[in-house]
Amino acid sequence: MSSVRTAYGIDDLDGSVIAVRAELVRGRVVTSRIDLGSIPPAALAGTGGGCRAAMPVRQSFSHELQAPFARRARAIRVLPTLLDLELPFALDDCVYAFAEIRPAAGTTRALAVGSRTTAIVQRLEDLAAREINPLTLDHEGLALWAGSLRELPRGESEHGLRVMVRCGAGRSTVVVGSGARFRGAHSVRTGDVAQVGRLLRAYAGDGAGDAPPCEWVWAGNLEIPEAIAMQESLAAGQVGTRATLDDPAAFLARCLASRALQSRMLPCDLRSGRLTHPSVITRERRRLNAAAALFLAGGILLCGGSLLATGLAREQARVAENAFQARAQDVAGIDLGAARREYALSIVEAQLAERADALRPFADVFSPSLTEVLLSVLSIGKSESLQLQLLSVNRGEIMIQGVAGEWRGCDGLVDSLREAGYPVVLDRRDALEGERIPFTIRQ
Amino acid sequence: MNAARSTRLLWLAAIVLVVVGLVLGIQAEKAIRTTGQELTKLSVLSESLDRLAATDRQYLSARRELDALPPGRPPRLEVLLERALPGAAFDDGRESVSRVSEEWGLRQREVSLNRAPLEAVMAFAREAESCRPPWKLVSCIIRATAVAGQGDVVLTFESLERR
Repeated sequence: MSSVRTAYGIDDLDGSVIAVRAELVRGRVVTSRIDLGSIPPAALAGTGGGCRAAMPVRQSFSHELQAPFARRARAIRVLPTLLDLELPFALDDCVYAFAEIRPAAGTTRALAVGSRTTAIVQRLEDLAAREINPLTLDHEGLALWAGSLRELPRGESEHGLRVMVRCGAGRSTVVVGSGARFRGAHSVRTGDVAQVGRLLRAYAGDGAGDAPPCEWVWAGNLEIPEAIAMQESLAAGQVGTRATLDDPAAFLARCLASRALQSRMLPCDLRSGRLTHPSVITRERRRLNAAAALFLAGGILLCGGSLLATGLAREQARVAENAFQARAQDVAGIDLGAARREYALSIVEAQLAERADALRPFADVFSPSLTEVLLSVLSIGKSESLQLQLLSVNRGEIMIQGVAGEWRGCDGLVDSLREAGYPVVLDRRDALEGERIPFTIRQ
Repeated sequence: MNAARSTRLLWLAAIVLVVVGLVLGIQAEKAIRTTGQELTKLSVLSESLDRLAATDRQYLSARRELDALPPGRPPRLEVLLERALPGAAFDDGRESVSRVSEEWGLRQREVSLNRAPLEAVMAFAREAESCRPPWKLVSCIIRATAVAGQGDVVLTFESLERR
């Protein structure tokens, strides 16, 4: 609804059609009564913002249900069954909607409204005879209640009943609510004050005595004698406040138009299933198509991205492989053919080993001097008072045997050799008190 | 084709593409993981290759450096020994010359000294290694004797000489 900025509400009160246009101006709904003829044909046909009509209370039902589950999803599953038990006809023959589902002390309460399918079809045919094809079909009772709260706001904390009476020639609609909560909607014969009193006593929980004090809100055709008599009679016998809405005859049409733009409270559309307006189906299909197109685009992106990622990964591996291969070939100085990775490296190793054998004597000339290692060992031995019995050093190997004056006496020598690149280990043996510690240092 | 059918087909195509995309995505993830492992492996192999190349370069560089030296033979060890340990008796050990390349030979000489003062022996080895062309000490065995600072010593020297 947020995309719609203009909507029309249509009511057929006592045989005449009343139309109201609602516009969204700076976030507020502004309504104006218009002639039916000034409604664009497209809106009458239900396209664009479309027009809204209501299912009369006398041809519909409203029931408050209570499911014994706190979990909403679980409650929703049983609500149709509970509603079926309440109805005098099969639920399958009805179109229904749950206008409100709310948690209530470990249970879930729901407000169900609906009508027999045949009645809705008949209503749509009646409207079609006037070239009106409403986009949605609201429930008269809900529309009146929501409209009364919009025009005469009432807080949840305000207790006491509000009775919204919409008078018509012959039949009137009575909508009852507590605080801001819708309780029920009834169709009564216009002027049947006793019936209204019975209804109110039932809502007040008091089957006998006077009707409870109420807030009365009047709308509809209030100029007909039955309506005037009804108002006077109720005013004389009832306690409470009384309000008449501006342009009461157009109230329902105003409610319907307003709810089309801002239907946050008790939303309802009895044109569902096979009775859904074609433009709603088209809009829904467009939305589905747009979602599918988005999904499709996501799929294409996913496919493309995945293929690209796979390709890039493989290309990177191939480039690295080729770079290694070229480098290996360069180092080996021969053509490695189809040899790859470890095999290529082993060929390079073999190739260089052959060359290294021939060149090692040249490299050895520049290797660190053993004399320096020997001098270091002898110097440390002297400073640490070590008695070296055997010292054997050649390229890459060293072994020292001797005795030390104390247990940690040869640690310095071991550290020095390790720093010089000899990964030596120290083997010490226990000695009797007063004896020197025999040790062996080897690789 | 009616609208409902085209919507169904659109959804079908979308679902098929998303499923194919997911499969390709899984394959891409595997390919990326495999590539990562391959790159790690290649990196390890490259490091080994770099080490081999560095050693090879070092060997070739050593060869080039020695090739640039003028021909010559290192001084005789007896002369150096006489200077460091005048009058010392030494066993004239093995001496051999092996072929390294067309131009170069490797001379190896072993010197054994009994009850030699170790400081003087070290001075001798140092001098042998500092002459041009140099001797290179490649092995040394020292056994302690009863006298501190002396030992039985076997030294092996090598020298590269141009043939």
